[in-house]
Amino acid sequence: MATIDLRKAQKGATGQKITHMYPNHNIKHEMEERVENLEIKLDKILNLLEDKKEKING
Amino acid sequence: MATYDVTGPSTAGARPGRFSAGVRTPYLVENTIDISAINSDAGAAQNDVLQVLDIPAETLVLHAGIEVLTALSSSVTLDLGITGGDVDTFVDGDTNATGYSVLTNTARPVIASADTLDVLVLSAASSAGKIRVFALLCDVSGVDETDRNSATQHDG
Repeated sequence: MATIDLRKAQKGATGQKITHMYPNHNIKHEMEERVENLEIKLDKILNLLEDKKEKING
Repeated sequence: MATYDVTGPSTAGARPGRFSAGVRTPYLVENTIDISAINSDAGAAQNDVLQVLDIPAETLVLHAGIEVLTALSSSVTLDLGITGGDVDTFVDGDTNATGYSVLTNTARPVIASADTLDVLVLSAASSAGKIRVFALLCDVSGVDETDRNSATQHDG
């Protein structure tokens, strides 16, 4: 009886392969990207409105 | 008898979603072994232990099994489990024929300390065959294991 370590890729073994449940697990999804861009634009508009409000009020 | 609500301050009904920071998802880990090519092409002897997958600490093994891709030598049977623990917790006596192994009643444990998932070659030596060992894993280690609230803070 022997113990053979086949966890790493070698002759006769592909080695361990990990598949995440989402194909783009570590990559930002297109929708996330779009929402993030919209948030940035909205922040800019709000900042400009704040600036304008401050100028009007002196 | 008393009932204590210790579910924490999170919003009722809230569930972690894919877009939440730090979200965990189960993942598939697999390893394909060509039995005929291991051990300098000699194959596996009877009672050999094949270490095939790493299981990190505090991991729930949702499912693990063996797919026999190419039939092993005659009379060979396979177990899948933890050497030094339950050696056949996931697969118990799978035959040498192609196909998926049958799920055991003892499957789905939480592995507390890092370990390996091992195939135990039983009943005969095998100089032939190819198997794919797979496991669906999920990290179940605690996100917050510190009790920061006093009784007053909690009950108030």
